[in-house]
Amino acid sequence: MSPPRYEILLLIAMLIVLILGIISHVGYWIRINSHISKTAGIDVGKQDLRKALHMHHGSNFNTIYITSWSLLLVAFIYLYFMTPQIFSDLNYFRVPNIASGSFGLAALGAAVILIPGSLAALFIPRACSYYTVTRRMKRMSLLAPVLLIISIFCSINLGSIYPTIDSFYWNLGFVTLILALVILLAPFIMGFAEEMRM
Amino acid sequence: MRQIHVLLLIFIFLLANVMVVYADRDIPVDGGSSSRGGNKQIDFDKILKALQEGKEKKPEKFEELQTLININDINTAEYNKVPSLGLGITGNKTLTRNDEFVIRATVVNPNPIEIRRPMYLYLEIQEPRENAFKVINPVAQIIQINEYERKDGQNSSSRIFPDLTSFSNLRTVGPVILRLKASDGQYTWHSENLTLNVTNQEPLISDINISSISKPRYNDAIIYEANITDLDGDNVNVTLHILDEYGREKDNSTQIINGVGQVKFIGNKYFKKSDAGKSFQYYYTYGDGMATNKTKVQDGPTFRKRVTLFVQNPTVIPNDHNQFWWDNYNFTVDMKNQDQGEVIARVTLFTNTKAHPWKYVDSKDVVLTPEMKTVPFNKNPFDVSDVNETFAFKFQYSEPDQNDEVYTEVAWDKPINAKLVKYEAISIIGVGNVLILIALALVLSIFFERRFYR
Repeated sequence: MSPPRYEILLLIAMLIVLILGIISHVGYWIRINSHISKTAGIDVGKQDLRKALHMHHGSNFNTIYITSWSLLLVAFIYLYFMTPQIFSDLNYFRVPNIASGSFGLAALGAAVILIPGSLAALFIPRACSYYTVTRRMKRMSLLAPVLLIISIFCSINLGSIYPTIDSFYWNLGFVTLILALVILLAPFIMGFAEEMRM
Repeated sequence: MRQIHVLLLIFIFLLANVMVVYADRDIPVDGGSSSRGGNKQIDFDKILKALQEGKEKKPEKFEELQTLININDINTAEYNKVPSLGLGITGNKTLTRNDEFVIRATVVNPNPIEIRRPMYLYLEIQEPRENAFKVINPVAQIIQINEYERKDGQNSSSRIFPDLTSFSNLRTVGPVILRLKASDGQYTWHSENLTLNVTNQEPLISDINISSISKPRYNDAIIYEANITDLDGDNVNVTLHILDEYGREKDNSTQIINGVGQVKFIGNKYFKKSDAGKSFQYYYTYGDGMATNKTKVQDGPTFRKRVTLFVQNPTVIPNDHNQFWWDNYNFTVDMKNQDQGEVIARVTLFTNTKAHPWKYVDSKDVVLTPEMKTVPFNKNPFDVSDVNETFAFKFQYSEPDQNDEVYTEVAWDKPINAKLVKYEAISIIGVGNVLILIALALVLSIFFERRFYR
């Protein structure tokens, strides 16, 4: 059995980061709940706790945050599923009607934004609203779409030069993608870390 | 009979003689001295007298004698020369030629077995419009003397004739007369006539048609079709007669349909190159062996004029030497009309790749003269699924070429370039794609922010 491709290993690493974010969020909720139970001596319902924790981070932050999550999904699909390099049987060029068009990439991206992007936009910013997002974090979040646009351009470049393969662009695309992911998960991870200190 | 009487008398005589020689003196015999003297001459008068006396004087003895010598007389009848003959048929007496039936002959022989003779039976037929009977079974059916069944006081026997079970071979319909001829070797008898009415339903033809493309060439597929119905189920001979442009019979062909069916004559074998541009007609004759009919003369086919193109040098030149899938390719073929004058030919281009087998690309009508002309198709027939594959292409034309073919095909060994995306990342289209994405993401974000997070 041949060892998994380098890109697959990195995909696993990215999934671990994502799982870490989910674990942080779950851990945060458990710890908050238990903390309140201990200090107040009563069980607080989930609804009440959500209401109590909810804070509005501002329209600009929310918009950028939702945009970033949408672009993150697009950048991920482009990086892994555009060329036959990683998944030879499952890639964008398996749909020649779309791939042969000049704006086929935009069509693929639009499909990603509209279907999984909408689901992400419905749930992730709501989850983020239970965390404290500092000004510094908000400024940092502005970096996420920039990093993701860089990643998307890297992927488009890899597609346009295919069958030539350029590892630099792939690595750059991956680094920018995972950095953006870390930035977008930062409120969850930081919030959990903060809660751990208490 | 006479012989039996004689024998009886002789017997009585011998008995009397014995009585004369050895009997006691109860029966008086004249000339007793002579009998002793050895004279044994027969005297019938004496015998008769002795018997008469014996009857009167010794009736018991006479009766005993009578019982002793009583032999019944055998009264043999005279040979009866008139047997009774009958002929019957199963089913209706009005029948079609293909109706199956059984002919049964019955013979009633009045003669007792000891004087019967074998009976030889022949079935005779008188066909419509014929004046004489003819024998159907050359080998006679035989009723042996012991093959009679005693029924209702009659000796009867019957035979069937497997030689005649239908009138399928009858050439004319109408009344058919059957009779039985019986012979005992010495005498011959005939039965009464059995008259059958044999009918025929003439075959019908319908749905006469020529199946072909609208203006066929002489070598295109042409099928002459017609439906045949014969309600009697007869074999119907259907003959297609093809008439040339002057109404003369050019060719004909026959098919046989049993009862109901469709005739299909493949027309191509009747025509050759020289028939191009000519009009033909046809009709059918059809008959079931008794009635033969013919259809009206039908028009068709009218062939297109023969045009022979000269085709050469099919080739392709990609607009870009890299041969990308998104490039235009200039497919060309040189063509001319080999005859004088102009001809309009339809030329169609097809390309063949693994992902798109023999894909139609384009088609055009071209006017061809005796001058060679290049017919171009500058087209982009490929898509991204064809990358890194070789391809083939063919020009198909509406008229045959110098090889009597209607297409020419070329395999192109150089594969299509493996490059997938036809623009650079930093290009109007590349950046345009990303801008569309950003705009869409932003619009969606604003929508969600306003709708769900305020």
